[in-house]
Amino acid sequence: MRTIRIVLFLIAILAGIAAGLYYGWRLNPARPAEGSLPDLRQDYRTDYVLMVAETYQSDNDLALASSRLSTLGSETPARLAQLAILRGTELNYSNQDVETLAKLSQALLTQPTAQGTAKP
Amino acid sequence: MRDRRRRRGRAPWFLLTGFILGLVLGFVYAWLISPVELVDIGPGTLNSLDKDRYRAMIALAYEADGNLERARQRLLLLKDGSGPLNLAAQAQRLAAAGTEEPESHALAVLAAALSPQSLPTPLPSPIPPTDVPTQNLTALAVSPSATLAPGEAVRTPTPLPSLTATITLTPTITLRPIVTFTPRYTEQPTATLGAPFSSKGKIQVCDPTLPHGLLQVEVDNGTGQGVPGVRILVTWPDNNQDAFYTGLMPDFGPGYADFVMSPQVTYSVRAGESGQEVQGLSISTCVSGSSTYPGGWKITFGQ
Repeated sequence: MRTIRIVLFLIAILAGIAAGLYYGWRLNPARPAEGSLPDLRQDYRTDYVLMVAETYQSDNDLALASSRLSTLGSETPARLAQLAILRGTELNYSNQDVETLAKLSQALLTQPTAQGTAKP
Repeated sequence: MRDRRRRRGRAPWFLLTGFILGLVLGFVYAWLISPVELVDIGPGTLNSLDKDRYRAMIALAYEADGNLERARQRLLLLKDGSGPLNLAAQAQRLAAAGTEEPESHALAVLAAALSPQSLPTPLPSPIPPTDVPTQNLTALAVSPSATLAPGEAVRTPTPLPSLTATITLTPTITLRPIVTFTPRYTEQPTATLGAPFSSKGKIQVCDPTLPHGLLQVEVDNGTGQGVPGVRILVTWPDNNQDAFYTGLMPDFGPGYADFVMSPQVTYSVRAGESGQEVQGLSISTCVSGSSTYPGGWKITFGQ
């Protein structure tokens, strides 16, 4: 009888933990349900890089493009641009868009000093 | 016998105690030890600062490629009803802060383009198909003289040596002919290049329904169309100044902007960087029957 009570007690604790986790993670998370640019899903990150590349194509400001890419996380701007090319190809981006990304990537690779000017 | 009866009558408080204990443990773990971390989110879940960044990038990209439909689709991702009002408000905030000038200009232009008054018009010349590269990727192609065509392969940029251990890039990208949506272009009135804006007229505005001392500015290009995104600089004594952009209130037209003057202050206003300055503007006096009330001015700049 005593063993049964202990088992039931443990089951009650586990049920409480499950309910607490469900409430704390799903229903009422501790942090506001907002993320930042580095948390973006890969396809949205790719589109963000594409926007930076389009802007770079227009203003030719590599340092500014590098700075804008640096908001996406800790990876180097050149790496972000390379990954965007690969992901954009997977996502069937138009050749024009891939070309735009490639130009930015190439510029970032050939002028690595631009990466140094990126603001965190 | 009596013991068993007593035990049967006792509520199972130990179960409730266990449940509450587990609940507390669950809360502690979910809120303190391992709180929720968002990953793989969409732009609509970004915090407000990063949403502003994302919105600014959309505007800058629109300014670069003129693809309004794409900008509209991107704005929808923000899921905050990013109509012209949000764009205009952000442009106004940036202009007021005196920083991020390209962003505020781009936001103002996009706000004007998305306003209900901007009707899409077809491009004067056909857009080149997006599945055919318009120029050689000589810097990236295997052969320097190779021209990309559907089905051809190009070499991707050389991976950074320091990162090759973590991520392996596919050596080639095969560009396939794919169906993409045709970029739509909304022709926006633009300023005539090189021509500074000069004053075309100044009229007193007496309308008691308007804010007192409202200075209305209308900026038109050489063909008389309102131009969005023109920087209006208002200055007044003691080196005070305020800058804002046309097109932030699309309901009043793409070339419209306004400013509320303070009593007993004389202002000067200029459109564009090297435009003509209109000086001596202060709150006017309007007469209505036997009473008076503060009025405003409407200044039209043109090229």
